[in-house]
Amino acid sequence: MRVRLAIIGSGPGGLSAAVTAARLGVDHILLERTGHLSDTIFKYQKRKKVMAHPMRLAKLGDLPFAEGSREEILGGWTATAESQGVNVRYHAEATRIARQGGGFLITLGDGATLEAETVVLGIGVQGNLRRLGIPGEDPAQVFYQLEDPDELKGLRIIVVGAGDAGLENALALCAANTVTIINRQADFSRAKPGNMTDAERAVRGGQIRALHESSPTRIEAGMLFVDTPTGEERVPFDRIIARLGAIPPRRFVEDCGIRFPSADPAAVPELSETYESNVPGLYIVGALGGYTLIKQAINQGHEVVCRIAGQPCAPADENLLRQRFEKCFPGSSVNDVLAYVRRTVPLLAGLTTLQLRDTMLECNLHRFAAGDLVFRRGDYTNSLWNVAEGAAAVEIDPQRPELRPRVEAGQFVGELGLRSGRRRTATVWAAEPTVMVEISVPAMRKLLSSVESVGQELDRVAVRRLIHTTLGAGRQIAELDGLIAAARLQKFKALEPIITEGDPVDALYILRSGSATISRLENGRMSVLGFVGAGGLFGERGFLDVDATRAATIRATVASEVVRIEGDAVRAALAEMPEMSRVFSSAVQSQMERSVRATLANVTRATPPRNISAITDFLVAKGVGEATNVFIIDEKICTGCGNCESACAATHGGISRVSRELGASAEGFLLPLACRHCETPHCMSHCPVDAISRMPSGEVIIDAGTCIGCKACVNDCPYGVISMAELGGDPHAGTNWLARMMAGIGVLPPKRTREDHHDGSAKKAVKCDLCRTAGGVPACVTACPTGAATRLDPESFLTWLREGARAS
Amino acid sequence: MLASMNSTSTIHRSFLLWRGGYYAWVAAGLCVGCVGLYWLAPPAGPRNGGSFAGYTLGTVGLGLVLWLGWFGLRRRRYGGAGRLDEVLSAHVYLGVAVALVALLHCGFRIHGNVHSLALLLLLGVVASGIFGAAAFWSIPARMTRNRAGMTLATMSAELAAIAVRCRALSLSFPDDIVALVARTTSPGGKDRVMGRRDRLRRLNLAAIAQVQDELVRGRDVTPAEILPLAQSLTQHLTMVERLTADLRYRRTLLLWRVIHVPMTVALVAALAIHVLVVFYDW
Ligand SMILES: Cc1cc2nc3c(=O)[nH]c(=O)nc-3n(C[C@H](O)[C@H](O)[C@H](O)COP(=O)(O)OP(=O)(O)OC[C@H]3O[C@@H](n4cnc5c(N)ncnc54)[C@H](O)[C@@H]3O)c2cc1C
Ligand code: HEM
Ligand code: SF4
Ligand code: SF4
Ligand code: SF4
Repeated sequence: MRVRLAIIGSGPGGLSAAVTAARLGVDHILLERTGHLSDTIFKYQKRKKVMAHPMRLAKLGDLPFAEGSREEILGGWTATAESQGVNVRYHAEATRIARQGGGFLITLGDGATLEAETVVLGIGVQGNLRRLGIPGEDPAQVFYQLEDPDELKGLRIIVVGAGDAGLENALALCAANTVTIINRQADFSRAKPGNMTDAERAVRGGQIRALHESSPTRIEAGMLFVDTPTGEERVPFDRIIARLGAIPPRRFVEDCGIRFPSADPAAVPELSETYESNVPGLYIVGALGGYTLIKQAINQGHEVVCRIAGQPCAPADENLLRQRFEKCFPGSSVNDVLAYVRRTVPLLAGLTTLQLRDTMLECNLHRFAAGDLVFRRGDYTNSLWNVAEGAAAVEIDPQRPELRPRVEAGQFVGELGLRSGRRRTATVWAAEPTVMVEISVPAMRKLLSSVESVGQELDRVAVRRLIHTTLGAGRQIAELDGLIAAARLQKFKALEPIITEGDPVDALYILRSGSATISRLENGRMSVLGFVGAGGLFGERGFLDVDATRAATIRATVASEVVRIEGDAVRAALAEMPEMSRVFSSAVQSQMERSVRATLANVTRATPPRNISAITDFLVAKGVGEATNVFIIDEKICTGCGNCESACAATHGGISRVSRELGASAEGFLLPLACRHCETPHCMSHCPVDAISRMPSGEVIIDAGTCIGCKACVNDCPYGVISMAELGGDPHAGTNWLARMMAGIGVLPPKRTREDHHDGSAKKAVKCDLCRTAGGVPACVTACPTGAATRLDPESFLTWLREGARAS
Repeated sequence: MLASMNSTSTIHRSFLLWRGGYYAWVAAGLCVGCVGLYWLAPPAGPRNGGSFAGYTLGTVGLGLVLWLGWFGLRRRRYGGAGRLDEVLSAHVYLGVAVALVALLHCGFRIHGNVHSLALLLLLGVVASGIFGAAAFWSIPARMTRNRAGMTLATMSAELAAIAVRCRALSLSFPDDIVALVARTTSPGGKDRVMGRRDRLRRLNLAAIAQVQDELVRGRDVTPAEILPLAQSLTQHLTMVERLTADLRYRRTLLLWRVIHVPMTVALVAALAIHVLVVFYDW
């Protein structure tokens, strides 16, 4: 069989392409792996409200789409596909696409083949579910999904796989069924803390049986044979639910000859302005091409087919771009402004037109008069500012106004905060009438994963600037060329040592992102002396003393990046610019002072000091090193009254964003489960609507109005602090204050809403917003009657510990 | 934004030590002032609250009691800028002071009428408050140590798991031991141990003893055979002790309020009558 156009995948992208093809009379076939249309949306929870973001983007083509329930949308699509005469083939999984003659040969899962002149690939990014793949597997007994746990009762169920999905299923089933979970690992640590604690508790309480370090081998006579550390075990069952994750579609896509710009898992294939890949005639639409929203996918499907059929079609984002540019360039055409940006912003010059359009959708153009403020020292804004015309002045040190490096047209500022997620370290003004292009963090993130040159340029400039601001001591940047030439960026994993005590002094370091602890062996025990944050200089002490070795070990607390400057260059620079040693000695001095103060505090205190190293280790292990603001409760003061949680619930629509119960504790400190407002928030990485942002004052917040409830952030946050909840309820429903007071027990903390699988059509992601909506002062802290609760940055906490924590 | 919280004086500092016990000094000052008034302005007649000093002390006392009682509302007003630990710090120190103010007000005299009822209630509230403050000060640290990193939920889950193990291990022993272990360890959960600590401890000790007796009775068992059960029963005992201690701590932290709060309500009512009666008689 040969067709003009084969469309693979019937998600919104593929389906929209097929509908347009049918309407334009293009000979086509739509291949769908499953037995229904749009599997990703089909799998949303029942009655989920599907959002139609971005609101301002117009929808093109004939596939109907507006905000509504999953059922309404799927129903409408099925009807449209039928009425427009779309030619769908179900249960047709494309397993290979090869060039053949002027077109393509597509091989299907069942071995059948089919020829097509042009292919539109819209297979999304969900991938194929990993299968059990063991002998004896019967589809009537083995399932890869759990739609409604309430439907199963009194069964013997085996859950294979102990990731979040597996644990959530096991927990939902264990009340009404006999559940065994089979885990390849030795514990549940691969899952989020909430699921892990719940599951461990259920296992200890006997509600779930767990076989760790085990894997299933075959099914025979109603038994699953499992390989366990103590030998083979047979587990009888009625049903197996395998939650083994998905195989990302990248391999398949690469096998089609499509190139990805980098090995970064977030990278998307490079596409032309018409969404054509590097393989001529092979087009990509939807999530696979990096367009994660339904409306975008629909528009692309439509545009692609119009182009293929030779019909005119203006890109859907044309109007949005015009609006973006209107303020700064009134009356100019979109193409003119794009050409202007390409000409004046070298960082963006190498982008394809499509990439540039997408990037500009998330950029702001600004026109400044001389002396206008661009950003202020101490802000948490992390966007990157490019000078297109004019120049900016950077105030590094308010005490030294003569030191104001200029940033000329074609250069950028703000790259340090972008990577480290820390506060701005300088104030920037427009030095003359200036035009600037501000690239938002999400847009920058996409660029970094898809255009290698952007990252390289950013790195190159960052190294120069870090060296200049840290070691420059009033010199011109050109005088530091020797140091810059001897510098390179180095990445370290969490807990990896950067410098080891006793090693020779061979390099100097500046921390670009992340954080590190300084520790030393004392009486056979590692003791933590200090903490280095982004922008900090370390490894300098050794250069003040000729034959010194490293006096301490410096270890990354989280994944960190450092600038490493080779020792010889540092010694040469010191010989040439002796005043640089002052920078070194003042860094050493402040560390010394801190440790002397800590010692004094320890000597004069009657009670033994807390075990600071152990506390630091605990905090570091819990990822506090990347926090900007963390909730810590002193268990030696806390009476467990729960007022902190009640306060949070009362000020946040009845849903507490902090849970003591699910927190972790050690050495007398409790780290409740609550957002720590990470320096580079993981939760932001895959939010398709950019609903998560960082405020200039540092808090990471989720905008409930924008959130579409897709749970990407829930999965991305490594600390499990985001939950899905329906907002808007009465926090105190059912009781009155007098009753609560007379009971003498105080307000009972409302139960934290954990995900449930059954209902919830309009659930949003919720987490701590540092009380931004409730006056800006953490209600949980101010409501603690005993003084046990504190919210602060980890450095202040460690300083406080060292400088005389009361050990009562 | 967090400036107020970055000063180390407010990080993890017990309410009793708020700003180095600032309100203790305020309360002490108040007491000195009131005692001074009591001595320097002696009434013409008997000391009974009807004099200038008496009225002044009465007014101060009444104001303080109302302010102290307001704490119940303040504690549930969430989201403001002030810190509750400061208010509680003032509450406890001024609360102690109010006892002295009241005693001075009545000239240390007690009769069998509504006026003295108010005084007794007040002393009762203060006494329970002192108990509560002492509990807040001393229990959390002990409780943390006792918990050893576990939570109530993990402790009871742990106990249940140990119980299952004990019962399973007991099955290879004679019936009397099976029965004793079953009585010691079932039906499981934290509700079971509440309030039955002594009985459980006795049972558990008896079970351990009896298992060890197996050796003595020479019923053909080796130490290696009884050891797992004996150890599990010992773990069971430890966990029962921990769990009951934890529950006791929790109870202590909560239950004194069952006296403190209703007595406060009664006190305010009695004071209202006290004031009405005084002015009616006047
Ligand atoms: C829980 C959740 C909630 C979301 N909520 C929203 C929302 O409210 N609003 C919004 O705009 N977006 C939302 N999204 C995002 C949106 O669902 C996706 O971006 C969109 O579905 C992507 O469309 P697509 O056409 O690229 O691919 P998909 O919708 O993923 O469709 C791909 C199709 O291809 C099929 N397929 C895959 N491989 C093959 C193959 N080899 N051969 C044949 N067929 C194949 C699949 O079975 C599937 O039907 C949400 C996502 C999730 C996970
Ligand atoms: C006449 C004197 C007093 C009155 C009227 C009074 C009243 C109250 C009230 C109404 C509450 C609120 C209880 C709740 O909301 O659960 C309370 C709590 C408390 N009071 Fe008092 N009190 C008095 C004296 C004292 C004294 C003398 C002390 C200690 C020395 C004290 C210590 C406390 C403590 C520790 C709490 C608990 C706070 C909490 O858990 O949040 N009180 N008191
Ligand atoms: S939600 Fe999670 S990832 Fe995001 S800032 Fe908070 S702790 Fe970090
Ligand atoms: S800071 Fe506010 S939002 Fe965050 S946990 Fe505390 S009360 Fe809740
Ligand atoms: S309010 Fe304070 S004392 Fe109460 S549970 Fe929270 S931290 Fe502990």
